[in-house]
Amino acid sequence: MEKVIEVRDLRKKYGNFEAVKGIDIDVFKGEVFGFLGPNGAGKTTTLEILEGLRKPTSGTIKMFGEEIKGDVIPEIKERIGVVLQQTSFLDHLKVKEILELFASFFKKSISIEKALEMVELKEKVNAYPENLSGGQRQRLAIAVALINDPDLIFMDEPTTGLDPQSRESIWVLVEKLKSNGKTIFLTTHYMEEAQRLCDRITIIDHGKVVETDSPEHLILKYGGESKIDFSCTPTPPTEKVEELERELQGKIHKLDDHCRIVTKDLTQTLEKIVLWSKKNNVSLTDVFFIEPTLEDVFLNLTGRELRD
Amino acid sequence: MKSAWQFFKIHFLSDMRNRKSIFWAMLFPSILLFILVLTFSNLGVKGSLDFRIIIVDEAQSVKGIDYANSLISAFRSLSYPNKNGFFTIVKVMKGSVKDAFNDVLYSKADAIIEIPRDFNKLVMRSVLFARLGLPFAAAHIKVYYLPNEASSSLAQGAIDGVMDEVNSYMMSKFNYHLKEFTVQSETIGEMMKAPTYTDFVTPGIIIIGAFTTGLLLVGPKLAFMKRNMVMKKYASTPVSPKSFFTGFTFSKLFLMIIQYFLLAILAVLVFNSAVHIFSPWAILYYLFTCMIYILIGFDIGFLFSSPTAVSALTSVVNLPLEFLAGIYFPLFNLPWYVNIFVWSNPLWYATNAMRQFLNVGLSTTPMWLNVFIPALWGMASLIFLSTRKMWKRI
Repeated sequence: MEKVIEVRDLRKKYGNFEAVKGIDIDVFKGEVFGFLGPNGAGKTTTLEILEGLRKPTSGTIKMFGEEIKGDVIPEIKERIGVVLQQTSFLDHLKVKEILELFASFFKKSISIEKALEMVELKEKVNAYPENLSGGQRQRLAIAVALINDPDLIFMDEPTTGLDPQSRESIWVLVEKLKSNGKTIFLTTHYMEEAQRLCDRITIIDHGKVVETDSPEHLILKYGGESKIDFSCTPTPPTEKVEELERELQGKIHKLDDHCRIVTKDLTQTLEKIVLWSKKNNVSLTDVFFIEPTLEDVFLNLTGRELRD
Repeated sequence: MKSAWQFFKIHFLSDMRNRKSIFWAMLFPSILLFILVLTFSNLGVKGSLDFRIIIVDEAQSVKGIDYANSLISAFRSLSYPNKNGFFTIVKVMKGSVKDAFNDVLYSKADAIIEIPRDFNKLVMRSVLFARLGLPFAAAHIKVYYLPNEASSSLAQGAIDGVMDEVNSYMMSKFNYHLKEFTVQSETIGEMMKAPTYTDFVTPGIIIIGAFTTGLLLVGPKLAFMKRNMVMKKYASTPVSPKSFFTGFTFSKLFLMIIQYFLLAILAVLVFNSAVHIFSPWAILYYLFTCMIYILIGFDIGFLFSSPTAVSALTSVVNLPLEFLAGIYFPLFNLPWYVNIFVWSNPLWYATNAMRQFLNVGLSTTPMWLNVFIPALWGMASLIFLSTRKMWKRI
């Protein structure tokens, strides 16, 4: 597969502090690549180096097969689009004028109508961004990033601070871009977002890559055990609970109004719980299964939650 | 070039659609002009002040008689450190009055008293003719002053006012009442008439307008763009810093040009000011100072990242510089430590230069300094900006 980004032993020092300590990344054409890490992990620094906003201390970066020495050259910048974490526009400028400005930066650009159509903001062409909703402003930011019809799009936490509906519309947009063959380099604080959108994920911590794989494989490898939460009516006596623990060969945790059991084999454990309830004339109520997620992967790999 | 034009267009549009920008760039200086002219156009001045006088004695003695000396003594008796002094005599000199003009122009003195060549002859003749009961032409002295400088105008008035006492002195000395001993006042330089307050204040208001635009529409806007990652967004595209700075700078400059004509036309049409608004030197010098103010705005914008901090600093810088620029009132009799700020204030030099170029009055500072000091500020701003690595410091 064609590599769009190839990073080897990337390092960045600020004085004596090394923010990025030898990172290797490969991003392939047409994939959505997730780049996750807790705050201070070196994620933003790496991203800004790739976007051409900072210079690395050492290491090699290839973009579109071309090695970047020093500043990211304009020819490369022509092929990338950047959606920043926080997007503000100058006040008192219309959507159309903002897009005209950004279009003027590039040798080739798509029409303003097309860019707005892609993000479903066509009717807002003469609106002022200050009158748009948060979700619409973010879609405008994506339209700005798409104005040069880029092959590679960097998206730095594109849905942070948005309501669920706006977030969903951005996800649909990202999926559409992917289906159009665009390569997307995505950072996010939302595991649900990474799990839904990303083909592959790299988790970094303390300036180093901890793991890279697809979300499914990461969960299989590092997600840990599933959980079953259940309540019973009537509440069984302690000896009956201990009987179930012996049966399951595991500890039952009593939480507020329900019990939790952690298991590797979800089906077998569930069967045993059902049999136990029948045998003891206890009705099972509110049974929930909690399968491992990327959040668990992240916690297991870094010892921290993503927002720490 | 395409992107520089786009930057110019969007920043200009953004300013023109922004009520705050319109207020600071257009309305504020216009309102200031209205308030000042309406308030102070009939200003009278009262109080005890010290004026610095130079006496130029050109008189030739007639047969060993020198009335001029007596006249100088009369003025000395009315000067400090005498108890009832009205002014300070900086120096008494022989020679041509033109040699003393620069002292008044550059604020070393407020007025010149010239005792003319034929003074002794005229006094002698008038004393004689008076004794014989014949009509005679009174001897006179001349007072030279700058009508656009309040201290100078006041000094001229003060000399006129003390002439009765000078006459009394002369009468007691020669036992004769020289009541027709008169003062003729002359303006220094090419000025035709004393400027009105509108004429006086208009060049300064034009300078304030440009300065306010340079500071308030450049610094806070840059800080906003930095804080909100607009600059970062630009930096991630192939657009060059040159395009941004060219477009941005020219959008402000264009606004300042509109501002110049708006204020000047307002002064001329509404307040009957006699300023020469189309003077090419005035326009050129104005553009030069506008560039300096934009550079200072850049400095402030890049020094801080918070638009609020930038706005606060702008006010802190703006107000003292305005008040120490002699825009609203002429500056004189200031303590030396305040004068240090005045002498380093680019607005003072710009106001002085614009007064001359708009034909309001002669600049009270040498023209080379009016260019040099603001240019020095511009150079310092440029050096500072070059150390900030502006484009990369996002």
